[in-house]
Amino acid sequence: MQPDPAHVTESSESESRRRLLKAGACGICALCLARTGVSLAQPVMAESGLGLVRPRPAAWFEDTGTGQLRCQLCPWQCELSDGQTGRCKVRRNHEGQGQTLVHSNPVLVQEEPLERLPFFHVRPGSRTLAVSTAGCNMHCKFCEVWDMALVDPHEVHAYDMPPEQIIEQARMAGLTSISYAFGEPVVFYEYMVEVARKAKAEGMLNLLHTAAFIQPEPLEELAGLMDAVNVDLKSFDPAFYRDVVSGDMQPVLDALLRFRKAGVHIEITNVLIPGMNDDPAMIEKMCRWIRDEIGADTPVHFARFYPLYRLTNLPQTPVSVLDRARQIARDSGLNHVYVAKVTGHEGENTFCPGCGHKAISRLGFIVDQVDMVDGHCKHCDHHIPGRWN
Amino acid sequence: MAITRTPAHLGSVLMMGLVSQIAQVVMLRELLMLFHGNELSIGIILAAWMAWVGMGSAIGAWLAGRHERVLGVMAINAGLLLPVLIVSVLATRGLRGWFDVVPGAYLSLTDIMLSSVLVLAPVCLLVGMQFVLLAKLWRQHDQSETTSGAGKTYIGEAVGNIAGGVVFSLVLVHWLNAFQIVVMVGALVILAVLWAARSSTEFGDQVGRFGKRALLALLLVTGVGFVWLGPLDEFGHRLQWSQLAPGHELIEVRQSKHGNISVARIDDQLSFYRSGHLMFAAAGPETLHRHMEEQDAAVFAHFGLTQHPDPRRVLLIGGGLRGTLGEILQHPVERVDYVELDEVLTRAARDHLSPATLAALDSPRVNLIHGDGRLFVKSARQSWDVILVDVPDPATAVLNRYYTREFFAEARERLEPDGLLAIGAVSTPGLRGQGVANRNATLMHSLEREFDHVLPVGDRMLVYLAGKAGRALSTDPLELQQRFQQRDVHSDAFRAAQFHLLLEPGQLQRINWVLRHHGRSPAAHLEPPPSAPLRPPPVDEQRRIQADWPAVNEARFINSDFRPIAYFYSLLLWGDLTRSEQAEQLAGLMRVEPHWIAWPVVGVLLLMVVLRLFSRQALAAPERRLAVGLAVFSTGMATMAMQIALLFAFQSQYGFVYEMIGLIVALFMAGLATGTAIAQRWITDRANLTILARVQGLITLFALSIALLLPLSSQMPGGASIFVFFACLTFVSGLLNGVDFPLATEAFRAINQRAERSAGLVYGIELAGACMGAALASALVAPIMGIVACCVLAAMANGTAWAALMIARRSHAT
Repeated sequence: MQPDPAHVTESSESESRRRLLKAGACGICALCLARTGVSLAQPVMAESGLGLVRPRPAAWFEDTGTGQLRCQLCPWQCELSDGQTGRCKVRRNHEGQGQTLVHSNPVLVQEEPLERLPFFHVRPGSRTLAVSTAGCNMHCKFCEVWDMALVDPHEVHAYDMPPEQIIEQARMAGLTSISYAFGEPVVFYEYMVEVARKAKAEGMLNLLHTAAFIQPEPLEELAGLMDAVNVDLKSFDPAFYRDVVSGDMQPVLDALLRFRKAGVHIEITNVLIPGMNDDPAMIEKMCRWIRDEIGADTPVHFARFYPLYRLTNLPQTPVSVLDRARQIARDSGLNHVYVAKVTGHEGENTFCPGCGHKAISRLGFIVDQVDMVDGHCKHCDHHIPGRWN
Repeated sequence: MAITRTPAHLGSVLMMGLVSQIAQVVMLRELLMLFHGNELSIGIILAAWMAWVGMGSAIGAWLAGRHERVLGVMAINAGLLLPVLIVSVLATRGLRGWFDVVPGAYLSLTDIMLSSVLVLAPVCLLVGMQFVLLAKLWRQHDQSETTSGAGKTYIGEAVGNIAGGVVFSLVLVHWLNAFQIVVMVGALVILAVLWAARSSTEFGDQVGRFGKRALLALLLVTGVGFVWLGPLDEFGHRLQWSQLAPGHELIEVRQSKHGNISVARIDDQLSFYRSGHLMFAAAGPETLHRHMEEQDAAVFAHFGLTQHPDPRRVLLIGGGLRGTLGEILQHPVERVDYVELDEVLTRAARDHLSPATLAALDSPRVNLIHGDGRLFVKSARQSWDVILVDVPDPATAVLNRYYTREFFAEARERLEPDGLLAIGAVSTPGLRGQGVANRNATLMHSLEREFDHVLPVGDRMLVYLAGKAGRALSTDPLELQQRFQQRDVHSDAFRAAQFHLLLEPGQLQRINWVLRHHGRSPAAHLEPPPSAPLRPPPVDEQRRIQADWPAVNEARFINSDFRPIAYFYSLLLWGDLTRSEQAEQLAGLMRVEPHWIAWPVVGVLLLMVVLRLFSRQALAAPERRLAVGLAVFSTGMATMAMQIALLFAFQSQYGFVYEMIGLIVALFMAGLATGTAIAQRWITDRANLTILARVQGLITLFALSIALLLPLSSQMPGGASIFVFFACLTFVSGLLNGVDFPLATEAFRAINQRAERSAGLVYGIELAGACMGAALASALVAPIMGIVACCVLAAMANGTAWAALMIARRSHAT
């Protein structure tokens, strides 16, 4: 039974004020706990500089036999002459050796609430250490981090942080997960895998947010290390992938299937851009595919587009479009459908598919209340999938 | 011997000026729609216009040299001009479809240049030809061998320009669409030619019977087809809209003196565009979740107002129509002064927006003022507790005025002792790009120059809060939450707990670190900002230790009316967003040093000396040609550079008042006409290089005096004195330019013995100089080096020309 959103309404004025105060109190508690954790930690010192690039040998290259190297990390399969860099700007052929230009030189190392990534079914209210480098193997025209990801690594400031320093940073801050997010983790594959191995050894979770434009073989290795993945499924229209994202849709769908097979917890994000990928029929097709191939319990986040990067002249997504997409998804049989980047929308909350009770209430990335026990709804004991511990 | 009867072709001369001005304005507005109102494109459009007109004048000179029946050639020109104008407007509307650019994306600089060059070529070539053809007609009328005909044509064109500008802005733009306007002026040109070709006139035999009948037939078809121009205009708008924002229904288009206002709808959301640029999206009467549609506005309003313990009087500049006004009124404020620039926009909003917004506009607590917000603050006598500046980014010189230290100082004076200012700007979560970091750090430092406490907050959008001494800004979400609740604010768009989201420590500390640090070295503007530490200190601590950091590089990171560097950085950001190589080129402009101008100056003068030493020719001496050409080029360049400086300064001091800008341009044209008339009438030996040199010297001194006087204009008391000051400077600038033209044409005629060729050459070279002046002044000199530097550039250009003429003139008696 799907909970009817119409029943989730504001009650009396005093009730709403009480809930407001409760929300504030819980949120404050969460933040205070986080801050306490932060203040106890001594920061790891890390050198940083403009164009901090220390090339290292990279895996996933093969010799074409014609004096070029073929990068085998992602479906572009860039064939690189000596000195040439791939489309992602961070992998190159250096005198016959394949190199990564971003190993141990992240541009972004910061603590974030998990809900911001977004992961709604993984340790609600906890914080993670997010890591990302420059570079990306796609080129979304609505990229929010274009000044970090869609640039040459020589053009941005980066830190010098080998994998062990990342782990140390997380441990000192009292964090129990590492996230490879905000940029495109596929392009810093070797760095990510090394950090992930160390994190796993420390008992930390490895969380990945990616567009999943990656070849099957490296994905198999990666899937074995990841605990949860949020995949940006940009659209279910190959033309959109080609024209707006500069990518290809099928490898992304294949990656989702492989993550599923590997047992990784999957969440999916779809940014809805008005007039470009918000066709109801296409959304329905996508949701049915997710239901059939990934599972009806897969959390799906429909995110609001805001005028960004190259699409600065389109208005933000109407909320009604997000509502419609959410309804289509629920009607298609998906159990956990969210609306992202609309603060205060009731689609930020987790509802139990069994009884409709609000199992987790949120405001943005603040978790207000968790009404679950060991991954089950407190009211009806219905299992809600996720990585809760 | 001069013939004093009214020349039959005078109407054609006036119509040439009229059609030139009106066609330019119409095409400018159409192209600005295509380019989303990007101000850099204005310089490119004008440069393309001048370049093609110059080329047209060269073609005109060639044609005039080959044909004696010049009016016949004019008839063909006029017959072609009318359909070309229609096709040019239509082509502009559909041009976006030719570029590989997705909806919502801006065109790159290359696309803008290509579009301008292609679309304007046919119109401008025809208009440029007309000048030289009509100059020959005048010479035939005067039965003269001199270039006096060109001088008179120059004057007539200027008069026509003035009339065209006034008629367009006061009448045509309000009543007719673009197609109707161009058809009307094209028909007037044809009528003027037919009038001049009457059999009773001196030119009656220059247009054959067939030609006259063809023109009449064209007029007839035009008259009959006029009724279809309305549907054609609507078709053009829909075509354009389908490429700009597919899926969005175009509801209506209104013409405003500030641009074209378009209202669009997708689902239950409304969006408002000005000249193709998105202003805001908002809720309509049918919008299901009004509060969530307008959430950004709500955040801005509540965050700003809760920073003040008890705001009673609020000033809101812009943004009220997107929901900010309604959210302000949720607080127990006594009065909100809301300044909105465009009355047409407000009327359009009233017809479409939600009842909540309309109720806010009609609230007795709201005082709605239509006018320029900057001027309102400058001339206000009251003070406020909170000033919210909700205007778009400083992506144009006009908008930049709300982000300068002069404005911040004016606002500070109008705030109560514990008052605060809030202003926003587009940003990125990491502030890593050079353009966005430079721009937003500049805004930070400019605010810190005038306010004691500045706090930036946000990620993809930054809100800057600025408080006077004694007004500490709070980073404590609990404190703000408490104030919000105590005021009993009932907003569906904003919850008290959202303060915790807005002031999340990690993001807050990072962006504060980047913005406070960036800009504190001589080369800071040439690199992206350094990374924040892995754990930056709290904001209060950053403020304390900031005093020990190196000083801000004020030349590069303080935005002012006289050095609008934030405007340049916004252009740089636009270059990044359009992902074109032009971003690197724009960034490269920042490396230009003022002393580099010495190289071309020295080079030219050395060349002059060498030519003089080795030249054996007399009148046709190459150094004479070069010196005269340089004088013409420099005058064109200097005049444009001074005009841009004057317009920038005028806008910042007087305010953006569209009719006044039109009047200023008309004053320039009047000065131009007056100067040419003075030279024609009072200077007999117009080929004398010494006299031409003296004019260059006068222009040099004039430019230097503007450089000294302009900074003083900010101290002038009121609007009237400022207007008179700028009007006089503009008139004199036009006058000196006007004196230069007939002297230069005669000097060239003395070299090559051909009147029309000389006129065409001078016209073309002057336009080329104006092109260069427009490009250099608006894209490089004014924003990066400052407005005063534009005047110094002008002085150097004409000073070089003066020196070159002084070298060349010694070759001969004249």
